Amino acid sequence: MAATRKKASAGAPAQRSLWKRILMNWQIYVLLLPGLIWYIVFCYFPMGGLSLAFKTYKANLGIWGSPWAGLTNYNFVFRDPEFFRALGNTIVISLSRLVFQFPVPVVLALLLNELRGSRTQRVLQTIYTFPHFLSWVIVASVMLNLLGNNGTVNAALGAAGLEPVNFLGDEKLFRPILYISENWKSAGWSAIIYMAAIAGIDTEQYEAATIDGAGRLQKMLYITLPGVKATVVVMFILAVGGIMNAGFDQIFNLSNPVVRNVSDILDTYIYRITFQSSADFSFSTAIALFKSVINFIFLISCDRISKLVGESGLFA
Amino acid sequence: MKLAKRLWALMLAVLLAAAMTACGGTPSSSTEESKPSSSGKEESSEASVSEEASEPESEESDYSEPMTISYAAVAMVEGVDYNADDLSKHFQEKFNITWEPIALTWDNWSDKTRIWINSNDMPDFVMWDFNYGDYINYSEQGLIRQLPDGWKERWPNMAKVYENTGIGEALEEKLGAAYMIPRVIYFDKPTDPLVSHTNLWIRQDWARDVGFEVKDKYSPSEIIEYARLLKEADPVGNGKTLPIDMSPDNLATVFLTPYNVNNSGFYKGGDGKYHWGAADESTLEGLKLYSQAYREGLINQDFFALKNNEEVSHYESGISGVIYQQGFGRSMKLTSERYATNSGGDPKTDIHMAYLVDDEGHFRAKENTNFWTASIFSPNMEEAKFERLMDLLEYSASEEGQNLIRMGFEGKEWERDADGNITITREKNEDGNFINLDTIYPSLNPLYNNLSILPDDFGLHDPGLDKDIVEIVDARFAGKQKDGCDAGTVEPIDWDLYFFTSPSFEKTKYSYGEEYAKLIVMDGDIEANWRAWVEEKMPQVSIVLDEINEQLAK
Amino acid sequence: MKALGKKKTVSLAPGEKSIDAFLIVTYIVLILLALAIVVPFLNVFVISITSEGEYVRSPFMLFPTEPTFDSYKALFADGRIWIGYRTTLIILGLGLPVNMVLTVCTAYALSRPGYPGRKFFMLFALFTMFFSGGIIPLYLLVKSLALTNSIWSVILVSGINTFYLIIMRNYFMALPDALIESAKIDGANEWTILFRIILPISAPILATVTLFYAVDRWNEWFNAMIFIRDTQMTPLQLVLRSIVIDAQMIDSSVLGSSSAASDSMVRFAQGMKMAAVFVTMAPIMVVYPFLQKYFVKGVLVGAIKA
Repeated sequence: MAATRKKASAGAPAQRSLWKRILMNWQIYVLLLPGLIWYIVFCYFPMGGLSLAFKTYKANLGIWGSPWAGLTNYNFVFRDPEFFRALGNTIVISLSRLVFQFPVPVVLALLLNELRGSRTQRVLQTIYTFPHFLSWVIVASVMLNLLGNNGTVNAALGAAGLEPVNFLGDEKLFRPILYISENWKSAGWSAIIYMAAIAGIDTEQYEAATIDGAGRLQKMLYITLPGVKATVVVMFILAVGGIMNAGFDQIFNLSNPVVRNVSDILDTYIYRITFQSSADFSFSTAIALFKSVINFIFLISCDRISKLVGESGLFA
Repeated sequence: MKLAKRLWALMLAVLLAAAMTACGGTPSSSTEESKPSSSGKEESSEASVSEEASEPESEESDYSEPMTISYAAVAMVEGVDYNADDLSKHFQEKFNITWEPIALTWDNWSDKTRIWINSNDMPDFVMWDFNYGDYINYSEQGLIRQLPDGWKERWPNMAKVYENTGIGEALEEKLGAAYMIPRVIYFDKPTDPLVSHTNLWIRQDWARDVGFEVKDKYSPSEIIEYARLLKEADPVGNGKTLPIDMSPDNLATVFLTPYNVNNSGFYKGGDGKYHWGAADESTLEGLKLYSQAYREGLINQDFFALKNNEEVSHYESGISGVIYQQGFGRSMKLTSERYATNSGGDPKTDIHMAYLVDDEGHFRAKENTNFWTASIFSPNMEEAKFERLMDLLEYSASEEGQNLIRMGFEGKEWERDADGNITITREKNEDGNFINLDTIYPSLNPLYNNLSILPDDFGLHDPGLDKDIVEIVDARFAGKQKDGCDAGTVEPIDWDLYFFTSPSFEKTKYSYGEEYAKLIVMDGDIEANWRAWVEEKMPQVSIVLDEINEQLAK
Repeated sequence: MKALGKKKTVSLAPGEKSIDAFLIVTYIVLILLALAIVVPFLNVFVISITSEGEYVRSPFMLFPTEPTFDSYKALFADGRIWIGYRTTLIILGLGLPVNMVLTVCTAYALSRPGYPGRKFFMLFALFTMFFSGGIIPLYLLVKSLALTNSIWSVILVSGINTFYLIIMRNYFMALPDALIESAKIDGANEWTILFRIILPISAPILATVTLFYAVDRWNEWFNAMIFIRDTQMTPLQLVLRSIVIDAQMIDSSVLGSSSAASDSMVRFAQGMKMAAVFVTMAPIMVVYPFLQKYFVKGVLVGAIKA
């Protein structure tokens, strides 16, 4: 009803109908209110702190009172070769994650769905989700145990008469280890979203397909996959919007100084700047702001593109 | 439908219940808090009497009003009640305070203190890891408390602590006021100039087995020789021996300082100009040895992933050939005890501590500052609370307070005969050593051990330590004095540089140990790797060098 | 549903061979993956019951010859684990309802079509996924709300996860419009629609998002570390961190001459770490399969309704 009215009044003068429409939907606004308040208080209020990117933070004067510094902070940023290295690493790692990580939960969900309703599925799904409960601190210490030069895997290689592999200290191996360990830890968990989407698919479609003599693979490719497409697209847009977040927690815990050339990302760089030398919150805010802007641009572009190719995107 | 409804109802119920318990919870917890302080009131009159006795000059010691003082210190463990033991009670009752301990861990220490201070919301009292750049910032902005005029006269013991650190006065001259009290290490320095107590710890039983001479000092080349023999012999078996087991920072110290003490930072050269030590050719000399040791497989191949002195626990389990660790009496006692338990060996015949020298037998190092961490105070704390806290610190730095902190209660844990000789009377372990005092008083280590004076000074003549241990520690310091301080190979602190800060300078404070480790593990020739690295850093570094030379070079 | 699946395979005679091959491959892949997860977990458990001597010497750790529970004894000797559990359960109990109420209401409002400002509000929420003021402004906010050192700081600061909000909103939007339209014609107001019509058929997404929030709460540590000072209110993950990272509590030699060597240092660090990991995992291992059962049921209920 509301939708049809909206269409009818679309061409009418905006002023009158706007108020009318607002009044008509007052209940929605009431529902929106708690969330809105939360966003304003806990997200938008502190966001004033972003101005620190162009200031020199003085705690005694507060964020608003701190003196402006123009682009000084960025001058430091753009002179630091480590920043550019971190930027490059961030982009490479993020893009590789889109390739090597993004599809894994989708495939996993599709495969798990084939065992639908069985006890095995439940057991397997439980197992897959477990690693997600472990924090990276722990996963990293377990991995060190397994992959270190004195670790279990190398002991096994040694016993088999093979040369030991320096898993942790090799720049070439570090990134693959990142992708594999992230999949190990989170693929099962991320699959839950797709499992939920699959659950929303109309079962009649399967029955119809069965009657038509479709095999499992066909049903998977022609019914299940299109059924989760919308979810995949949304997840993909969000993943692209996170292009500048290459996974702080994981990298922070897994990396070591030896592989820093390939492991240092913007977030670890910001962390080092904020907490390891003399504190400079303005400087780290400057980089964080830079990062956010790029992310946002990516998100919006990706959203636009998905709309161009006929998907609904985020704002539908 | 029913499912969702039930879920919903459940949620609402939980929310309601939660809100109610939360509202009810807060006041009850606050009454709990005030309880111990009110019970402490009765003792207060007695406390102030004894206070007057020990410190006649403090005119106003009215402790009738109970106070809660929040204190953030490192090495505190969440969930342990540090207010419960007798030693802590003694301090709290004497000053009618209740500690509100805030745990900092080695890992989050700087994160937490930085965020709190930069938000002008620091706890009343903080154990702070001094950093000059931050200090200037904080003091300029009034984020940490300026010590009041005349504080040195009012709290003379603390003034003595302050003066002995060396840094206090120097800073005061620069800033015109004092904003912290550094925690002093020694009143009576074991060497002059003061050097680090850190030493090489080898396994003398293994050394004897492989025919390596057991000495009091070793050069890096000798360490490599020892490691080679160990790798060959593999005393642990299964190739599990870790001949050289050190973190990147320690490896840099062991291999580089004998060739260039300034390998990780700036220094003033003979020409009066400042230079970047990492780019010196002498640094390369050390790096070559380091690289050789790594490539021969003498260094723990996972050294770059060692965290939080993991190698020490390797040594204690009897799989490390040589580590580089703290060399004061207490650490020797603890390591010996753990070695005995974990590896089953006899520490007296197996553990050996030696110091590091260069190829000519000289001990080369930089002078150490005579303080570690500093006490800083909240500017938002009431005057009376600050004074009470200072009274407590003053007492902790008095002879009575120090005896209490180091040995426990007189008559209970120790006795003094007519000549003033002290006998420790606390219990002994099955291995014949005294049990550690902080086992009896859990509050000791996080709250009191480092409160105003660090335990090192006392550790040099601690009657609770094994005589042998005290002798070994003494002998190593004496060796460093002879081969280093007297030989003129210990570089004094350059206070000008110490007190230098600029935004560019702060950003070139590299973690050199980690940078060098990277060069070592990297494929290719170490010399080429190092030159490329120097070239990469140079644009940043030269800006800083110009700044320093402009201001400091003469 | 289960019966239906079985009937399907039975009735499907012609293509049965190819189905089996595909199914077998699926099984093999999935079971291999499961093994890749189980083995490291087993490794954790094995180390936690191994004595240090055996751990450092033996080349392989399949199972200790002499299992010991010393690491567990050491772990439970101090009360930290219990404090961690208590705090985390409080955070879960208080935080989850807050999360769900805020998220459900907002997601539903954002899913409704055709009211002025909808797109703006969506952007308003989305924007926060990318821009945040940083830790100091957030700290100043929490301080000005007088929430520091209160459990509510941790709860309120992470009130809505925008990502979950979007997931839920998308789910609501995919529901058939006819349901809502007919209710509207019957004169139902928005909350009746939300509570009586939408939520009952949204069990899958409610279950999913609740689970997601629960896990976030479970893994919560950074905010608690910064905002909460009372050592009696340390969440589990923070306790775990301090055990795992700080197990070796001698100070770093980088700091120069120092002396805060601690006697609370544990005997066998690795074993104790792994014991801590296991102890924090164990309740999940026990509880999660039940939750999962419920959760899967929710998913299936949703599937049938839709």
